[in-house]
Amino acid sequence: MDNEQVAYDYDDFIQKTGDYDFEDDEPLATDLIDHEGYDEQQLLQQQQLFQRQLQLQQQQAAAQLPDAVRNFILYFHHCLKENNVYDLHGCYENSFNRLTEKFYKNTPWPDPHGVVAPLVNNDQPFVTLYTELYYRHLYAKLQPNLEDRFASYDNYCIWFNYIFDSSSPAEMELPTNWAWDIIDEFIYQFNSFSLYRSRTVRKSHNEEEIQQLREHPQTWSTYTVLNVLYSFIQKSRMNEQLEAIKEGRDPDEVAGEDGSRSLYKTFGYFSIIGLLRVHTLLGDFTLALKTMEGIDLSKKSKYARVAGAQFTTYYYVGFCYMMMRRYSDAIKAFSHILLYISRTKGFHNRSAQYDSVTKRSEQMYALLAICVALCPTRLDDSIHTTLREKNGEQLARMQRGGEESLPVFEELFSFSCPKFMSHGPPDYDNPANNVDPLQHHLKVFMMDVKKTMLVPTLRSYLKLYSTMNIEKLATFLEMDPEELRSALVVFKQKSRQVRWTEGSLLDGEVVNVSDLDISLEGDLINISEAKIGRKFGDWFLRNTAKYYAVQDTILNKNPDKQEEKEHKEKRRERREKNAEKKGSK
Amino acid sequence: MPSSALTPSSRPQEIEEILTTLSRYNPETTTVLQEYVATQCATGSYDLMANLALLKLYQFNPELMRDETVLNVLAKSLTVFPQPDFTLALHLLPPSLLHQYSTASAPSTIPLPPKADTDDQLSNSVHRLTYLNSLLELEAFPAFWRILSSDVDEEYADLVADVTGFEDAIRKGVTKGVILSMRSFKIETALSWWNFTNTEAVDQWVEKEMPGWVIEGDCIVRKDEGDAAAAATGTMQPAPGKIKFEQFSRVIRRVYENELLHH
Repeated sequence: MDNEQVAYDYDDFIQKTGDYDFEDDEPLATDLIDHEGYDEQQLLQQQQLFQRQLQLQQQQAAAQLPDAVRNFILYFHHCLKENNVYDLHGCYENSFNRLTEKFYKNTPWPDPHGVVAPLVNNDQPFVTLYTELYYRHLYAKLQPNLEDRFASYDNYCIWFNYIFDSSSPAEMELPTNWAWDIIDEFIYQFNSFSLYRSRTVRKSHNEEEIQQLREHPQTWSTYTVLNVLYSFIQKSRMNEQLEAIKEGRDPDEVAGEDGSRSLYKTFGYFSIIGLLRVHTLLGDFTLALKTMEGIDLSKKSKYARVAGAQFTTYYYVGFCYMMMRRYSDAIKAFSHILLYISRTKGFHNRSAQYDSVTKRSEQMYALLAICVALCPTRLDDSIHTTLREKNGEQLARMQRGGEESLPVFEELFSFSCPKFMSHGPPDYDNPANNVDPLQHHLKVFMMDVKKTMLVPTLRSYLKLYSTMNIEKLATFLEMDPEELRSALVVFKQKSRQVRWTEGSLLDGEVVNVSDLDISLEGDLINISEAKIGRKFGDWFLRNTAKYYAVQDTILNKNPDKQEEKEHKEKRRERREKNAEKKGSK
Repeated sequence: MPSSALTPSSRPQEIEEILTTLSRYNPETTTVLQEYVATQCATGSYDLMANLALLKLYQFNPELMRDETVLNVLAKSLTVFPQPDFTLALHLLPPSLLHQYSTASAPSTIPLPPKADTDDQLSNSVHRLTYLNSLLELEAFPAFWRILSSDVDEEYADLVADVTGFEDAIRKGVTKGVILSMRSFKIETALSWWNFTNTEAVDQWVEKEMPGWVIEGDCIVRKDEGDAAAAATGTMQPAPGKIKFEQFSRVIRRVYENELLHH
């Protein structure tokens, strides 16, 4: 992989994409959002009309606003104005979720424009951020309709416009995890819109909605979303900064005025992970990993503290590796993050994202099972135990191979793959042409799987011998000796995989990943097996620790220990919070 | 994937520009990338990243898609089997093209050619190339050559006709598998795997493409110690069970605590 800096040529991009007719040379995202701003204005006019009609009702609604909610909104606004990142973090992470539980479990939060805007003197940045939260909550707890989807998109445009448009970098700071959530949700809604659109075209006969979708091909278009992400990376000069970090230089040297501000830095960094995700959703696994060139996963970055970003990164990196048949790299990625999740379980239990973390980790166990079936690998003990609990039976069926294993692969793949989407709008005139992208990728993936169906059977026979004649094995397997010869070469080739050693994620060397190796000498198969010695040391140490625990229980030292542990956890949490406070100031 | 495969030295500066900038999304670069595919077909060079970028542009701009180029990209990626390039390209094709694809399982491990012909010409061609790819990845070479030279369905041969040196490129792929997994190889098998009609061709091929191998009697035999040789010496070295000193921290702390307790 070349180490040349990736230069994104924006002007070029704008002028040549052809979809937009821009007249000036302003950066892309700004133009784009200006363009969208036109629609937004119309929308606002309509809204104003609507507002006048409903003014009375809204005043009532405002009056009915629970005090706790009203106070929260005012305080929230105050924190944003003061740029108080520490308290903003509290509002965002704790109060909002608490109030959601109490008042808005099944109903939307107060209307941003009708109810909240008047409370805060129409302070545009706050209203936009609040609107983002409003729609995110709506997407999570309720069913957004087409109007909501359009409105949420418009709100993102306003927000990105606000960030990009100001001639000086926006004087605003957001908690790091909030910045991640915005990027994450932006892509989620983009993905969700695309699925909603194809579903509408394929199944529903709602002509009105289809008409609306046809009229707005730019809303949530792939180009738009890529533009936003690339623009963030460009604006923050994130790739240059990462390059500098790699070379041990100060990233601020190359960051420029914008790139040295923490808001741009965070958005720039997370946009790279966003791109990884978008490219994967579109089925471009090589480009997805190439996008991550600058990011060194083996080093801890300060963004690693945002757990959601970590999970996303490893899930998509692992998935891309799997699709490139680099199973051992995929296994490494999944094991790493699953271990991390199991170790930090205590924290996630309390967080609002608990459900999504659980779902994500179940998906990753399923993917891990697929990879282990395709490339037998010794896993970390605790991962192995959990995998056996969760997908043990399926794993055994996949490892047996043969026709019967195929439905299991299909089932696990469909359950755990990203929600694939197509690049552009569906074919409105020929709905039959709109094949579900999931089916497409599944089919191509299954072609790979089918070619390895014989490998487990071969493996089970070869394990028993040190030399064997092709003819004899062919008789056992009831197959043609010449076909068996081919199958053995396939077997050998499957044991060789590209594996990452250093450099960017796409790099790697071809290595042997199997414990069973063969070589053919005419019609004779020579077989050798690497017996991995049991790690006795590990075993003794683990059981010594268990024995200590038993001793403690007998001596009734456990309750104290428990308390001490909790104290420690709390202390660590506090430390982290403080660190974040300092870091973002 | 070795780095050289991702950035081949044959890649012109102009293409490098496109791939490393946002021009890769610019529909106007389609023509440049198309010509580049034609160059690859003519000269025997190969550039996966550029070809995938072209397929992506086609996805964004279906009206620009040229069937011939799509098929050439696929045919080119056959020449680097068993790398996953063909599969990676399939993922970037419009889903409708493969929708109908299915091969009947034959009694043997080698699948039969795709059955249902659709009305769509491009789709049929993609099916055929996909089938060729399956045969290659199953190392089912006799079947592969048979299909390719079939008089019944000449389209198979047409599909790879644009790729100069296609047959030799496939033979090189076959040879890689042989070198990886064998210490000796019957000339009889070699003839059918490489699709040679006489042993002179085999002689020449071994001399040119398999340094370290010689012909002895009716076999081609490895003389140097390569990858396959290591495997033949019985069991490999077991991985030693290393323990890091830090792992003892708990035990040591425990002993220390106990000392404190007792005194």
